[in-house]
Amino acid sequence: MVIVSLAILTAIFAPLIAPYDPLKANLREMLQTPSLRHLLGTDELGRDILSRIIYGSRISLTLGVVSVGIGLMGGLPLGAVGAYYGGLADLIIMRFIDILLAFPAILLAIVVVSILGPGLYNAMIAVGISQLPFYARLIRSVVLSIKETEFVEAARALGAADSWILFRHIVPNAIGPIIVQATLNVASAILSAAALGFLGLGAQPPTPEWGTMLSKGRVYLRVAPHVTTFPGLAILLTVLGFNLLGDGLRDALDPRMVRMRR
Amino acid sequence: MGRYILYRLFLTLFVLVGITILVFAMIRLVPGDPAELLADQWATKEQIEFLRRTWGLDKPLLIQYLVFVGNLLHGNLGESIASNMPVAYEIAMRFPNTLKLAVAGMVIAVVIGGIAGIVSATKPYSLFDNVAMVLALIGVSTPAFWLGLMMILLFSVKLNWLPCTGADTLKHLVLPGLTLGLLAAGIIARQTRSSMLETLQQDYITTARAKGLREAAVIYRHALKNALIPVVTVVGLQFGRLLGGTVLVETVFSWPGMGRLMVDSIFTRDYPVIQGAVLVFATAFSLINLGVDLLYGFIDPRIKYE
Repeated sequence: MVIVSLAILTAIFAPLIAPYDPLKANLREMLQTPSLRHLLGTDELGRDILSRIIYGSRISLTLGVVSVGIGLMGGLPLGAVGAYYGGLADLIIMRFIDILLAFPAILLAIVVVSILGPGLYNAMIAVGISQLPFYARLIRSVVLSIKETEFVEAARALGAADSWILFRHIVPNAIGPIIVQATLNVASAILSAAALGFLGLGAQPPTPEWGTMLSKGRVYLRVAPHVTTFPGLAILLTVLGFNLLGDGLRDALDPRMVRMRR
Repeated sequence: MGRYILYRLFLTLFVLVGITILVFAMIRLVPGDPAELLADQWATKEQIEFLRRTWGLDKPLLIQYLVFVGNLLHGNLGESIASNMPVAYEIAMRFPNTLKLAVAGMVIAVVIGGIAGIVSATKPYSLFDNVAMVLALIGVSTPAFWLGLMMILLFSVKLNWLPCTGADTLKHLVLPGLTLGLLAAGIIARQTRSSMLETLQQDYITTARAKGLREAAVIYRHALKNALIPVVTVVGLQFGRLLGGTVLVETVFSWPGMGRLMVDSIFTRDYPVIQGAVLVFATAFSLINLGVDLLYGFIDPRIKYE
């Protein structure tokens, strides 16, 4: 919780916290080791790494949240419609999801980027699509259980249309657990987006995206390891924060875990 | 059991057909003329026309798909734009390397993750358990490519113990294998621990203990076997993730595998190779999933197709 809040605050107040302009090159100060002047050193163009990491938190968090949003927006109607109508619709949708699941997530993201072309926005779409099958399945299972409840039956008895019942009664009730799960998935979305950046398929230089920074810095691994070390640590800490938050939420919401603790 | 196997085989076949449709659609979703995308940029008009005929690109979509599948079944994945070699050959050269890497990673992950998970579960909330679980969580949160670079920094640059590029000897396999393995070890440790903890609370474990069995026998003979079922699924899923992770690790260690081939091909817009690599990755992943599901049926006889 603390790490995630810190990351979010850093992202919001980046211009106030960052000591230097993240894009301003200064070739006279290139590849400097950490010092009081540059706390985390400088990169191959003499840019302040701390400032770039601070601004990078905006990009990485946005990447994580937006791609989870895209995955959710795509997965929600598919899972909900499949579960509600059942039969042929469910069969077709779920087999389509099965096919998407035949691709490891990062591979699916790479496939999408190879179609759309590299770039920050395309990386968001790619990571979002790679998460879509997961949400479709999750939403399907939640909607399946809510579908049988009494208030849905009551709405049906009142003569409400299917689409009204589904999107006005069922989906709002299903959204709670799904939002919790989505929060946890921000971690893996950030990792995937950074991976695309590292491969050169995500955000493009000079954007201070953490994965891209790592990829540019690896050339100088022998002479200036700090250029790769710190952006990686930033990714690790942020993802760890989201994972810890997720574990906490899951433990708090799962009564079995409480029993085990006792 | 027979029906379950048949059902799973049918499902896999369906997914495989789906994969070919997706890969087929891929090149058609890229803006531009597919024939020109499949040819190199200096190709003559005649060469492009030749490609158009070979792949039936002037025919209706359904026919195009059938030609595509027909070529696939004959092992014809087209020719690489970059090297002019058959894509099937390029992949055949590299796939064993990727497989070697993924298997090495998996073995490391299962050994480290499994042992850590079992010991943690038998001594819950002990120092070992706490340390192991914190490390596991860090493992889950670490970007593979960064861990790889840090390994190179420590073991190749600073200590000079191990090579960081190449794939000739077993020594070359250590760092990339370890990078892949450590990441998956975290997830396997967590799953093994929680599954073991749950199993250890079952009544039959209490019974086994009440009979006066030694603790080791209770854990290895009674608990482990039952706790293994969800672990097998996670290991299967992780194998797929490792296969995906090879793309990153191969890039970091310049490992001559399929992942690197695919990423390089994206930069050179070598679409026939991208198609081929995606097809092989997804097929391998589906077959692994099939294997895991079948294994699952053997481990837990209660699982039946309904």
